[in-house]
Amino acid sequence: MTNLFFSYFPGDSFLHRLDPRTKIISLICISIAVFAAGIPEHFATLVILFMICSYISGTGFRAFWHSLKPMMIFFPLIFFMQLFLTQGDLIFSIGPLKPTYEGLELGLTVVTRFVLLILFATILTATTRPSMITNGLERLFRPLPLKAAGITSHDLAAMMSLSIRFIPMFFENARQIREAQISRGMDPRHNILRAVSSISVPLIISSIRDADDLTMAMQSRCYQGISRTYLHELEMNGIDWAVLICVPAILIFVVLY
Amino acid sequence: MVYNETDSPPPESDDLRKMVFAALFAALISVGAYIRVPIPISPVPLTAQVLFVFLAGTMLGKKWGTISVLVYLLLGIIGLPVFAGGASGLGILLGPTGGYLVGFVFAALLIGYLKEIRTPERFISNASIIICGLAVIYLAGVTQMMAVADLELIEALTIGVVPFVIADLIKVSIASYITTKYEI
Repeated sequence: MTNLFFSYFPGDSFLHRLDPRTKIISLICISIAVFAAGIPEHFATLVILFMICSYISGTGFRAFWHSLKPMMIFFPLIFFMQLFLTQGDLIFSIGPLKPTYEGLELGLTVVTRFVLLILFATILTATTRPSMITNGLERLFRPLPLKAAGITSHDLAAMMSLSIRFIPMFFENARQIREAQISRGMDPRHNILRAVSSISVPLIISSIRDADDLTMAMQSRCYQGISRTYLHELEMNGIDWAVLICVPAILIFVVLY
Repeated sequence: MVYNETDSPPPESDDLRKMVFAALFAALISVGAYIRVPIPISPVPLTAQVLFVFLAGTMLGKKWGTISVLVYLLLGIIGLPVFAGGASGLGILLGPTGGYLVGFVFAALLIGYLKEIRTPERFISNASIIICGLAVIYLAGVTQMMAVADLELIEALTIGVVPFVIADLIKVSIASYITTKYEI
């Protein structure tokens, strides 16, 4: 399942080397700016910022297309909804279709916001490994009062890592079970309900057994969820702090322009 | 015996087990987004994603069920293509369709809470609880779609609820059946 990690593109650019916490906070600030933007100058500023970031990181068109593709059906859907259903000055009129200038403007604004949100998030995931983002999130969550919910940020990070490990395990197990059932005479196309149940039931059972085994293994290795250290420690450099100062400044500029 | 030089006792084994199962369910929800079964009478295919959200609430309870859905959302944020259609990233969560993902959290919380206070044992009781969770998902999804995409209520319902009702009711039935028969 190498395709599962398609989001990350190895590289050694400036953006790749930034601390993941810097990038996460910057992405949140930029997302706020995207929502605050309302006029073409705002969007032009954000587009220029995006072009600069994508050039610096070396992220190619393929990554952005891969991120936008799942949502491609929503862009025209929302745009045409706005175009035809917003009240205002008519552009033209063909029977029940009454597009308006206000609808056109509103549709373009909403779709542009959505596209920018996805593109900036893509730069984060394209320049940072999932494990490093997990580390960054764990550090950002540490000050939060997660104790009230009975867990720690270490537990949260551990659960994320466990899930990442479980996913390819599912696909591998499903493939093995499917082949085993086919070798015993199951025809997936002929009786689809029986095929689904004869694959999903053993898959779930083996996954639950694996989870129980994993629980025992973690407990016997003294996992506690508190006072943990990490194989790869994060550190904020001067350049990280500089970026953290610049991004909110851009946010303020966009909002107050 | 020294536990990392602190006075805290080791966590209860049941808590650790629940934690591992929460991670397992987060992975199941992620994989569920890829399991796609076309249905002749439904405009959208049936996916197992929402089904596992329901099961997370009923089988893990309100605390760990909610945590497993939060872990699933975090997986999407860090870049794994686990949102519907293989999407990922914070942009999806903040976009017009992100309300459904936020609704998953509240649905698991509500389903887990209702199941814990009533311990239903019949199919109809479980189905009622899970339908409440489904209503929460629709409510959150439509609300965010209206807010972010600037749509009217009827427009948001047309895009975000009507095409999915048939497939979702099938998932409610399957989840109710599994919940009635099995337990973790």
